[in-house]
Amino acid sequence: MGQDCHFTLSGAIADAHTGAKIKEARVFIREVNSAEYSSSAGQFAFTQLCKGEYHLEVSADGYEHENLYLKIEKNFTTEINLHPFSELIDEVELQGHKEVSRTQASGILSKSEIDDIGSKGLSQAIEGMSGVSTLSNGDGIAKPVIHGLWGNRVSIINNGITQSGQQWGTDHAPEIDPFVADHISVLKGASALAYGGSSLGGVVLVEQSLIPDDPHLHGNINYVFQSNGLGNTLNASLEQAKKWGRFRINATGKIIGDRKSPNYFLTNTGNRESNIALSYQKQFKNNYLHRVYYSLFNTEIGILRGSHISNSTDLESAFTRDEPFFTKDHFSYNIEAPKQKVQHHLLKYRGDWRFSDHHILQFRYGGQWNNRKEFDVRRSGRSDSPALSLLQINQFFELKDLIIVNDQWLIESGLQYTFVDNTNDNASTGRLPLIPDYQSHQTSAFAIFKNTFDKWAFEFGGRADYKDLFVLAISQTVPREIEKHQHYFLNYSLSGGLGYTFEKKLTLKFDLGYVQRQPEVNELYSAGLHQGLASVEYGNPNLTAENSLKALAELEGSFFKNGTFQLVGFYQNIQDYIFLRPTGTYEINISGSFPVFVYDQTNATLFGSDLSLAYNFGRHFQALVQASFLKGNDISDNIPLIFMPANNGLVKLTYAFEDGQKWRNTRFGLSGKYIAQQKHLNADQDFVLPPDSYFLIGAEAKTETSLGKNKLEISLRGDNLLNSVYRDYLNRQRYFADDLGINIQVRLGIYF
Amino acid sequence: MKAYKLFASLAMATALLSSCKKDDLIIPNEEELITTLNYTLVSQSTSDTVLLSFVDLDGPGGNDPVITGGTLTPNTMYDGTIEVLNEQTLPAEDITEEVIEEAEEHQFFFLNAGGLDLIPSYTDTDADGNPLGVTTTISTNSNSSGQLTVILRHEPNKSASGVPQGEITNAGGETDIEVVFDVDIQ
Repeated sequence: MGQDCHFTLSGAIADAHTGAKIKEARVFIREVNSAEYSSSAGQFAFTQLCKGEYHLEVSADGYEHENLYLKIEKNFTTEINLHPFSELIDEVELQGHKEVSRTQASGILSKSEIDDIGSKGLSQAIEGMSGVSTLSNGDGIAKPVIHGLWGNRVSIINNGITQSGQQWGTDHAPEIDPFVADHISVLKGASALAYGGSSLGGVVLVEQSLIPDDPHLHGNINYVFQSNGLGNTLNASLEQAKKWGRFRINATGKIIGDRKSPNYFLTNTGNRESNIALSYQKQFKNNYLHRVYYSLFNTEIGILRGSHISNSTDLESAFTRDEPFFTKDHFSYNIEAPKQKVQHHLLKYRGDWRFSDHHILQFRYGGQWNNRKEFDVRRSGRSDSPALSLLQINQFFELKDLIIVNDQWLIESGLQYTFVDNTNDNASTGRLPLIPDYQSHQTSAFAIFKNTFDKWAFEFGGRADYKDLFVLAISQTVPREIEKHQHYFLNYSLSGGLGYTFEKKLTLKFDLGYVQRQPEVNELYSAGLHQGLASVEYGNPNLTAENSLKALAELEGSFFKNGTFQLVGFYQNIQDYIFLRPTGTYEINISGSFPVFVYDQTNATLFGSDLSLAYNFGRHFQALVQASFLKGNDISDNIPLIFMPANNGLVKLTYAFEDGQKWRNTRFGLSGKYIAQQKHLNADQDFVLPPDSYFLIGAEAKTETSLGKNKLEISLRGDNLLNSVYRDYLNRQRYFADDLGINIQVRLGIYF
Repeated sequence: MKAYKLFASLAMATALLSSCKKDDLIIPNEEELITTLNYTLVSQSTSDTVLLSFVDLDGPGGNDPVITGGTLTPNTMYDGTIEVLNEQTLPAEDITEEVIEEAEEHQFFFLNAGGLDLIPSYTDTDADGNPLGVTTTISTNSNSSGQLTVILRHEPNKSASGVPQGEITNAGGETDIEVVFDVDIQ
C-alpha cells in the first residue's frame, strides 16, 4: 500500500471535573473497528495506525459519551476529558469551573438512553429516575411529576428556554421531542433560581450538546416499532461542521394507533407527531459563540372515547363498567374527537461573549408560538370545530453575566423579561372559553454565588420577579360582557446549598430553597366544564402567592467495593398551596348535574425520600434497586393531598456480555416495578378509590455491530410482559379503563 | 456596555410592541347552546295543557336555570311534544329540527322516579323504525308525585336490548340533555 502505518495514538482519560484518571473506559476507533480499555492509570494506546482521519468514541460508566475526530499524521498523545453525568448541566466553563451546581441533587438521562426510550415521550422517558413520576391521561398525554408536584410548579427548560404552553392542565403534555435532546436532567432541589421563579417542585432540563468540530457529515437514523398501538417512530439526525458554521438537523415522525389493555382496545387513543429541529452554531475569534435553534413540534392525540363524559350520572355508570363505553373490537389508527391538536414553534438565539477566562456574558432570546386545539364530541358536525382553541405567544429575553472573582467565587447574575399573550379563537369554537384571554409582562433579576473551597461547595442566590397580568374574560351571565382584570405580583425566591465531599467519593449535598409562586391564570379565572371528569371548575381571583420552603439532602457514594448509592430526603412546606377544592355542591345545567370545584388555598407539607443502589458483581453483572416514598398533607384541614405519587420500587438486573468480534456492548436486563396503592387518601376525596398496587415485569436486550464504517444498534424492550391488568393512580384514564397491556418494542439505529 | 444596551433596547422594543393592550375580544356565537327544553303535554280528553320547562338563558355557569314542573290529572292520556331551543339567538333557534334531521343518532328517554305513576310511550320513529321521542304519549295512573327525567342521548346504541322500549341502561352514547321535572298527579 505504501502507506505509513506505524503511528501510535496514546493518551489518558480523565474526569473533566476532578482530573482523576478513569479506568476501564472504552476507546473505540470506528475506522479500525477495534476498542481498547484504559488502564488503572487511565492510559490507553493504539499502535500501527495509518496516516489518516479517525473517529473515536469514548465511553465509561457514569460518564457522558464523547465523540472525537482526529487527524493522525505523526504519533499523537491526547488527554480526553469525560463529563460525569451529574455535571452535564449546561455547558459554560470558566477556568475549569463548571457553571453547574455541585450542591444540587439531580438525575440524568444520556443520549443512548434517550434513543432507547425517547419514542415514549418526554415524561415517560424520565419517569425511571427515582423521585420522578408521570401524571397522564392515557399513554399519549403525560407530564412529569417531581417529588409530588407538576404543572405550574415544575419548569421544563428546553434548550435554555422555559417551555411555555397551556401547562396548567392535566390534559396537557409538554410539546418537546425528546429525540432532539442529548441529555435530559432533573433537578429536584428548589434552588434552580436561574430558570424562573415558579419551580417549587423541580426543573427538567432538556439540552443539546455543542455540535462537534468534525468536517464529516455524521448522524443517525433510528426506527422504533412498538407492538401495543402498532406504533412506528422514525427519527433522523444529521450534523456537520462547515466553514460557514456547524449545523444539526433533527426530524421525527410518529404514528401510533389505539393502545390495548390486556382485555380490550382503548378506542381512540392513537397519536401522531411530526417534529423538526434545526441548530446552527458559529464561533468567531474564540470569543463569540452564536447558537441559533428552531424547532417545530406538531402532534395530534386521541383521547379515550369512553372517557368523555356528559354529566355526573353518566360518570357514575362509566365507573362501574367492565370495559369503557364506545370500545370497539378492532384496532384503528383513526383519531377522532375527543382529541387534541397542538403545534409549537420555538426560535432561540444564544450568544456567548467570552471577555476572558474569568468573564462571560450571555444573551438569550426565546420566541414561542403555541397553538392548542381541543376537540369534543359535538352535535351536528361541530366535532370538526375545536371546543377550545388557544394561541399563546411567549417572548423571552435574558442577559446573563458569569464572572469569577478572586479565583474562587463564581457569580452568575441575570436580567430576564418575559411577555405572554394568550388569545382564544372564540369565533371558531362557538363556546365560552375555559381560560380567558390574557397578557402578562414579567421582569426578573437574579444573582447566584458559588464557591468551591477544598472539599466544600457553597451556593446561595436570590431572585425577584415582577409580573403584571391583564385578563379579559367574558361574563357567565347574559348579555355577555367583557370583564377586565388587572393583577400585579412581586415575588421573591432565595436559595442556599452546601456540598461536602468526603474521602472515598462520598458526597453530601444540602439544599434549601424558598420560592414564591404567583397564581396562574387558570387558578385565577378558569371557568367551565372539564369534560374528562364531568366536573365544573372555577378560578378564584382572590388567590395570593404560594410560599414554599423545600429542604433537600442527598448522600451519594460507594459501598463495599463495587457498589454505589444515592439517598435523597426532602421536606417541603407550602403556605397557601393552591388546589382544586370540591365544594360538595352541584351545578345544574341542561345536560345534567356537575360537581363544582373551586381553586382554593391551604397549607401543605410534602416529604419523602428516594433511594438508589447499584452493585456490580464482577464485570458482567449489575443489580440496581430504586425506591421512592412520598407523603403529602393538607395540614390546615388535616387531610391528605390528592394526586400524590404512590410509593414505588424498582429492581433491575443487567448482564453485560464480553465484546465479541462482531457484536459489542451486548447486554440483557430484567426489571420488576412495584407501585403501591395510594392509601394516604380519604375515600371522600376522589370519585373512586385509588387503584390496587401492581407489579410489572420488563426486559431489555441491546447490542451493536459495525456496518461498514457505521454502527448499528439493535435493542429490544418488553413492558408489562405478563400482560397484567392494572390501573395507575396518576393516570386519569384509570377512572374508565385498564392501563396498557404487553408491549414489545424493537429499535434499529444506524450511527454514521 | 454594548450587550446591556442591546438587551435593554430589545426588551423595551418588545414591551412597547406588545404594550398595546388587548381590549377587545370576540364574544363567541354559541350556536350549539341549548338554553331551553319545553315538554308540552296536552290532555287527549280535555285539551288541558301542562308545560314542563327548563330555561337557562346564560347556559352553563352564571345564573341557575328556571325549572318549571307541573300537575297532571290521574288516569288520563296526554300527547307530549318536546321542543328544544337556543333562546340566546334572536329569533330563537329551534334545535328540535337538528335532532329530527339526525333522528338515527338521537333518542329521548323518559324516566320516572320517586313513585311517580305514569307510563310514557314513543309515537314517532327514525328512518330505521326506532323511536326518537320528540312526540310521545303519557298515560297517568293514580295520584302520586315524583320526578320525571327527560334525557336526550346523542349516538346511543338504538338497537341495544330495551332501548327501543325506552330503557336507558344499555343505550350508551352521550347525554346532550338531562333535565328533571317535579311532577304531581292529582
